[in-house]
Amino acid sequence: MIKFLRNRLFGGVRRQMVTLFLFTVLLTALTGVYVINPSMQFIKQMDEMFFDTVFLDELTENLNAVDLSLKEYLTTRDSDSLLTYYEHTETLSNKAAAMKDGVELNQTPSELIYKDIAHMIDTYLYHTDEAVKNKRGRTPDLYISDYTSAYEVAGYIKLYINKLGQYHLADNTRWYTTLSNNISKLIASNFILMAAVILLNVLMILYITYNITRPIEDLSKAAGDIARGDFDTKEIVVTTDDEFKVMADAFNKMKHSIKEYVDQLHDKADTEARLMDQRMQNLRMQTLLNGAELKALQSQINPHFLFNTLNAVMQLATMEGADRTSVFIDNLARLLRYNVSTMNRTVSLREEIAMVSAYQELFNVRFGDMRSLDFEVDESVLDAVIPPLIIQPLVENAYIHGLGEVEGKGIIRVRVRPVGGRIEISVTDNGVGMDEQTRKRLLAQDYYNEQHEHIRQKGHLTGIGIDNVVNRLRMFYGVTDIMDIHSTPGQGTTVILTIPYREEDVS
Amino acid sequence: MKGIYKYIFIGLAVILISGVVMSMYYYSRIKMDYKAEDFPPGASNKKYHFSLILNNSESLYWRQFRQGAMEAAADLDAALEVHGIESADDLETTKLQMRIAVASQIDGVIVNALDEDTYQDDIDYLVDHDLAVLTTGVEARNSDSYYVGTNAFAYGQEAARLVIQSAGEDAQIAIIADDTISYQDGSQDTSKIGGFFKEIKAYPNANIVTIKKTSSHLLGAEDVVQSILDGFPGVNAIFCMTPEDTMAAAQAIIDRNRVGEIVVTGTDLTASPSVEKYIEKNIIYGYIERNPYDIGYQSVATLCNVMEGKFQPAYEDIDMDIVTKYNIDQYKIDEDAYD
Repeated sequence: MIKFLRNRLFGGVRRQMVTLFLFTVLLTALTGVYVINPSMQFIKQMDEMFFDTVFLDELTENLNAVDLSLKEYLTTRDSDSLLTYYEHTETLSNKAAAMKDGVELNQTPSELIYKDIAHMIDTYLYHTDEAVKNKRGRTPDLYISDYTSAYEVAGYIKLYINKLGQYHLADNTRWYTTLSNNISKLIASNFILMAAVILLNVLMILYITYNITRPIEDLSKAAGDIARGDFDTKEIVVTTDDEFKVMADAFNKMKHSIKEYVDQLHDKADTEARLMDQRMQNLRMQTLLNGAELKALQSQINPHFLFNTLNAVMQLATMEGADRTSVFIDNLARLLRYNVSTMNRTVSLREEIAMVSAYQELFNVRFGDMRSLDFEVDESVLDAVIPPLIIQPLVENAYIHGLGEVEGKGIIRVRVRPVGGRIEISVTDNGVGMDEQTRKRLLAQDYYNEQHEHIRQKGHLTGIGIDNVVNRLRMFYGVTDIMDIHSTPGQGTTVILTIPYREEDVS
Repeated sequence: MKGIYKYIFIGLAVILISGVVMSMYYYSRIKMDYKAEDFPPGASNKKYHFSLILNNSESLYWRQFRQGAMEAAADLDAALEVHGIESADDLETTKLQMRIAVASQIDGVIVNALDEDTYQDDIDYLVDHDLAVLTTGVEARNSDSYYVGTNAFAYGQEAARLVIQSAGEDAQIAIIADDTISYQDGSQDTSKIGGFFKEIKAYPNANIVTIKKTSSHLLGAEDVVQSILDGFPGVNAIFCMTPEDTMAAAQAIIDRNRVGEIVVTGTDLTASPSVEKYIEKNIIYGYIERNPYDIGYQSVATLCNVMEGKFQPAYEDIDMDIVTKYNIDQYKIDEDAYD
């Protein structure tokens, strides 16, 4: 029942507003009626008070009129006077009858006097009628006696009318005094009542208006937030069961849908960005490869010329019996061929080791016993696939930078071994080593610091620096933690490459 | 914000309810003050309508009498209109009220007959017009009227005995009588005086030295007491026949420094603190209590019996009480109760 009423009265914004307006109007109207009612009652009482006074005055006038007409008849026997007398007596008699009918005999002095007056009028009229009757019967003694009695009773009536008037005056004065005091208090109470009703109406209007407009404000603010791209704006909560709740729910759903859609767009954009990054990486790698290839091509003319020349020299050396020279040249030729032919493919670790061995042969001829290159290779990882020209640049660096200034015996050790599913390639020399600052700088270098590469390529076989090696490994394996350097100035340097083990067809 | 609304709403609701309650309270007060629409209010129609005509109406005796009569009227479904005539000497107004009673066609009249003769014609007039008439104070001569009150002769005898108790068997007595009581040199007394004289005769050594009339109903008989003390130095007992005279006589004795020499015996006092003090100091020895409340009550009851045709003796004696310091505690009343 309560739910039904609540729904009928407050279900929907329109009903809420209609109910509010009707309630405030009704409350004000009721208060007004209630406040006016005592005034109307008071006026009614005042009317009755004056009515009593007027009634008593009329009674006296009737009495005087009867007396006058009777006296006139008794003295003149005029028929008109008799008619007038009858008219007045009828009026007076009716009033007496009304007084008796309307009066219950009670204990208050006013009531008793009122009743007495009614009965005295009867007595008076009895004597006046007797006087008229005796006048007609021409018995002067009797009608004079009756008139005298009537006159005395009329005096009694007037006396009681005056007394009743005094009672009324006293009653009314007392009544008015009491009433006036209470009316003042009633007016004060009603003033408080009116003020409270007005304030209550204002409060209800403010409250309901606030309740109605608050969801609109919330919606407006949230719409503004969303327009600014803030989809994390707080949920709009409407507790009332009306159109605003429907709007708020719809708005919240719309917000979530838009947010979801935007998130999807973001994800798509991220994916595209990642793809773009990947392409860029690939492009960069291709650029690096192209650069290396270019460098190789730049020197490609020379290899062809050199290969032919070196073949001629090798044949010449063989014919002249210079076998060591022939082997030296053969190694050089193989080394150059490897460099040129492997730029666009992967190689096995075995091939890379073999190429480094050829490189060693060249150095052995050049430096004799002053420089030695040792291998410590775990056979199990020799089939692993790696980018070409990875170990050779490191060995070359060890020869040039590590042992370049060393006058005693220089030792370079290449170690290849599996470590926890990965392959550790280390190149150690006992050369000059490097300070900590240099070590850190090498470890922190950017991928494509070609300037340094150019500087360092002087004296190198391939012109490929350590940065190139590291960057190619990172791109090849997709990992960054590739290289570490251990070095002590004056004692030597170890460069360690740690790469994932990958075994696949050499492309 | 919601909390503020809540508290303001509660506050306003409290003010509103307070305003409504106050307003309704004062409105109900005003409505109680309003006269009923039918004038006069008709709660019930009484069976009988009597008129009580009292002279000296402001004295305590008649106030108590009226109270008894009013309560009897309420108990016995009778309307009683009271015509209080302040002066005991206003005979004309008393007579007028009796005439008006006839003209008003009421059922009966109770009147304080001052003596047997003063209102005789008026009482006859009432009886002739079939009104039930009851006299109190003094029994009327009309055989169709009724009387309720103390036996005046017995009252006089009791008073005399009390005086003898107060001043001894050789008491020299002065009597201060109500001036409405008819007497002539002590030879033609009212019943009260007659009874008093008769009883005193039993004590040969006791004498009634003088009988004085009250000069003022309002202030009592101080001047009369003064004249007695001056003119009759041997007086050692004063008997006063009204309460006002009794109090005035006691105060005059104190003023004259005659306490212990003269003792007062009074009538119809109330056991108020001042009376108690006088009795304790033996200025007033005691007083005769005529039970005016009972007389008033029985007067209305008698008229009701007459109207209903029940047997009603024409003479009804109401017992009187003798109050002295030995029993005054039993008679203490609230004087303000008899407005």
